[in-house]
Formats: sequence, C-alpha cells, structure tokens
Amino acid sequence: MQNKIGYLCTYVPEEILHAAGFSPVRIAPNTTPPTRADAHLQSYTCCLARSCLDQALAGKLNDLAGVVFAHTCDTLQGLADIWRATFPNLFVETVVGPVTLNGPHAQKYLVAELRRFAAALEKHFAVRVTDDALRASIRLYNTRRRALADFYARRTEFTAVAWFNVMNTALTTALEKFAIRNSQLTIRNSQSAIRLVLIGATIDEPTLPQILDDLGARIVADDFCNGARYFDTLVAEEGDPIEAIATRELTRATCPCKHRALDDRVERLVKLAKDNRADGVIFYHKKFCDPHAWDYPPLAAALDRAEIPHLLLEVEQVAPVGQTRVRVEAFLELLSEE
Amino acid sequence: MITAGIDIGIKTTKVVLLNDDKIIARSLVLTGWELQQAGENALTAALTDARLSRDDLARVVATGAGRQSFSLARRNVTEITAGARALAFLHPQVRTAIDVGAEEARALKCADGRVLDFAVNEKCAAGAGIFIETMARTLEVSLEEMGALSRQASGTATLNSQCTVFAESEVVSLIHAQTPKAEIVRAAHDAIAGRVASLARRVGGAPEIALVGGIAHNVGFVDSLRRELGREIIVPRDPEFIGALGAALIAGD
Repeated sequence: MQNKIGYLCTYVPEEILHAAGFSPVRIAPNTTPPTRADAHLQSYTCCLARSCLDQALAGKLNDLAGVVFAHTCDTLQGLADIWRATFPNLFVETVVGPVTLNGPHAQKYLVAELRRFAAALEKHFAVRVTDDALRASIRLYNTRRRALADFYARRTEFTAVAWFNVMNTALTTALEKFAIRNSQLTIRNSQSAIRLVLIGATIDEPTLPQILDDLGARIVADDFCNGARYFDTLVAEEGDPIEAIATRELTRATCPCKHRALDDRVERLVKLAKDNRADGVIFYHKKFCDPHAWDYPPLAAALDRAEIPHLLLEVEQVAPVGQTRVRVEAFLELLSEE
Repeated sequence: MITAGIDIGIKTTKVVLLNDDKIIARSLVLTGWELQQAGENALTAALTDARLSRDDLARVVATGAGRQSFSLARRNVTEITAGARALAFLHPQVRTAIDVGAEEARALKCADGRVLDFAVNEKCAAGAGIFIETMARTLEVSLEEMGALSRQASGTATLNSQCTVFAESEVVSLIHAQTPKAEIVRAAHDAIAGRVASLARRVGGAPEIALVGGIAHNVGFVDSLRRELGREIIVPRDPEFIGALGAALIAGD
C-alpha cells in the first residue's frame, strides 16, 4: 500500500505528492469536539484547524508519512508551524504560492517553489520525482477531476447529501480507490424549484445538505474548496509538467486567499448565481474564518445590487440542526414568496 | 371558517383559534418533552373555551421550534414568516419586528405580511428571554416583578459580560457591592435590549418597530429597548400569541 501524505488546502499540488510515490489525502474536520487542540490554539481559531490538529494529537493520523500545507490563510500558516513543532519527526512542508496570481513574476516564482517542494520530498524520502511520473499523475488526477465535473453537471438530479458524499469521499480517499458508487447517488424526488448557490470554504458535515433535501431545495452551483473549485480547471497534459501544475494553480477559480483583480471573485460569483438562475445564495461560513468574512461585505452588496437574496450561516464544527433549519426554512419561505 | 394556529415554542405552546379574522379563543401550556401532547393539550383547551370540537376546524398550521412534530397540522411555517403575517394583520405600519423567545431572539424586516430580511441571534442566550429569567432567579425576584422594579431605578449599573453565565456572576458581584436591586434589574434589561437592538439594526431597523414574544409584557424591558433604539416601540396585545396568530391567519389564506 502506498504511504499517505495529508493536506488541508487544495492549493497543495496532489500530482507532485503522487509522482513521488505517495497517496495524497485531504485531512478533514470530523464531528468530535476537540479536547487536545485547544492547548495549542486560541479559542477563536476555525474548527478546521482545531479539529484536524485534534485528530493528529489523538493519534488518528498516525498512518500519514507527512502533512503538507499551502500558504493561504494566517490560521493554516500558524497551524503548519504548530504541526512542525509538535511532530518533529514528521515530514511537514508548506508550499508558499503567490497571493496575487497574475503578478508579472507569479508563474516563474510558483514554478521555482514547486520545484523546491519536489526536491524537499526527494531529499526527505530518498525518492525521485521524474517528469514521466508527474505526467502520469497529472493524467490520473485530471481523470478524477473530469469524473467529478461530470457528476457535478448532473447534480440537480441527485440529493444534496449525495453531492456532499461524492465530493467528500473523493478528496479523503486515495486516488486509486476512488469511484463514484451508485450507492452514493440518491435521486432527488422533490419537485420544489427553489435553486440555491452555496458559497464557503469547505463543507465537512451533512447537516445543511440534509436540511436542503428535507425542504426540497436544490443546489444548482457551489463554490467550495471541496466542491466545484477543486475540479474547475485541469492541468495541461503536454509541456513541462511542473509548469503545467503551476498554470492550473494560477488560473483556477480563486478562494478569498488568492487574488487576480479587486472584483474578480465578486464578479465571478454573481455571474455564477445568474448563469445558474439561482433564486438565492447561502454563505456557509466557518466561525472565525477571516478570509471568507472579509470577502462577505462586497459579495453581499453585489448580490443586493443584482437583487439576488442571500443568507449567511456561520457554523462551527457541526451546524446545530434546529437553529440552522429555522434560518434556512425562513429563507426558503422568503424566496418562495418572491 | 374556523382555523387554528399553533406555536410550539421551546418553553410554551400557544394556540389561537380564528373564525375568519376574529380571534375566538387562545390557550397557553408548558411545552415540556412531549411536543405532540403539548400541542394537543393546548388545542383542546382552546377548543373547549370556544365550545368547539376538532371537527369544526377547517385547517391547522403549526409554527415554532417544534413545528414539525405536530401531526394535526396541515403544514408548518417558521415563526419568522408567522410573525410577519400576524403583524400585518394587527399593525400593518410595522416595518421591523423584534421577537424575543425563550432561547432565541429574532429581528425581521417586513412589509405587507412578507418577510424581506431577518436576523437571528447565534449560539448564545445573551439576547434571549432566558437571560432575564436567569437574572430574576439570581436576584430572587419574580419575572412579573422585574418590569416594575426596574422602573424604580434612579440610576443604572452596567453588565459587561456577553455571556449569560458570566453576567450572572457579575450580578452576584453587584449584589455584594450593595447595588440597589432596581438598578441591577435595569442593567439586565439594558443588556438584553442592547443585544436585540443590534439584531434590529442588522435588518435596517426601519420604523415602526414592534416587540413581540412574552418578554413584551415586561415594561422595564420595553423602556430599555425604547431608550436603546431612541423611538417608541409598538407592543401588540397578547404579544406571546403573535406566532400562533400568524399561523392561524396563514391557515385561512
């Protein structure tokens, strides 16, 4: 069996880890309240950092040969240092990509950084990351991204819980074991026509999808790290493989930690809602997630101008069912009156 | 047409019976653990009061935290939608409604019976009715006495804690410092008024502003909210029955 290396952020280049002989898997928050991580983190840290570190401290991630971070938010940067200090024998690396993706030196810089990262893997594990292996890994990951994109294109046929399960299984399962199973695909039988776009960092537990299914709403598009942003751009299969991986990172849809132009993300998300004829938008924020909170005011204002109603849900590790349901249900009642 | 609205709240269950647009009976029971039973008890009490039976009911609509648990309801709506419908009936000029329940506070922006926007307190009891109940218990004052007592205050103390439990220990410190009880009660009302006013501001806070939920019986709290928002507050008759009234009106729509 291949050794696994964990990552938290989808800006970590899976293809390089795979070409080095590892199986990259996403470390996701679980539903157990942290009991160990709070000794290392402030209580105003997001649940993603707290839960993932807690799982590591509880020994639940002992099968990982390493953990790789990407330079995105302050919390994950700090978490990388805590992880390195807490597990000194573990391979812990941070891939420091550019923040401004279309800066004049972004491509050249990112290529150099990815080569440095590949070299660090080679040195630590005494392996070789060859161009042929990289090309093979790129083809495999493109195949998985295409499969997810094909499923996503048909998402309104299935329940929101099915969508949630497919996406989350994909990123936390080794590539070789991944398949979209029919047992995951529950056909939705509701006739309700309320169309929603969901926006957020990651969605890691199915309370909200289950509520949307119960109330008969459908997700017509999403903008999650573990959603459409994961597979919206493929890596070119020709040319220098590291250059191709860098190009994908610089051209894929941005999260709030990356920038192309002041209104790039706002314009993209309003267009996403309009193109999908969304009746409303739900912001699914993790409490204490600064990057998404910073992006919210201009996004909310742009949606107001476009006359697209929106709802902000701020959740910790597990969304409280009753409170979440009353907010979502009242929002759907508001939409159905329009 | 006889319709019933039933509001199964976290603490109490309320029923309003309507004959077309006329209120013919009301009832209120403690919710307890058995939501269906509480609903049936409240419904039976109201029907008995109106000398009617279940067969006379054309439609029943449920609302409140337990709205999905009541099998006699034809449909259910959130308390947010029900509140907007009831206020359009009672006070159509209201544009902002503040609804303080036992464990949740809400503000809604409404017009013509429609909800335009809403905000709900998140994850914390500091802006909810339970805050006042906790303070009353600590001060050994009945809930009914709280309103009149705070009106006797010549000044006000300040509670700085957001958290209900920490605020309770602040109250204990104020008691130890011999702060007059009336001033502490007023401070508790001011604290919760500040929090629900910020919810109202999140939805714009346009006048007229109404306060609903059982807490609206508390004249001291209404005073605090009036001071905080700087304008008169409309308190409908029987403010704890607004959700049930809205549900009964929706049943007749």
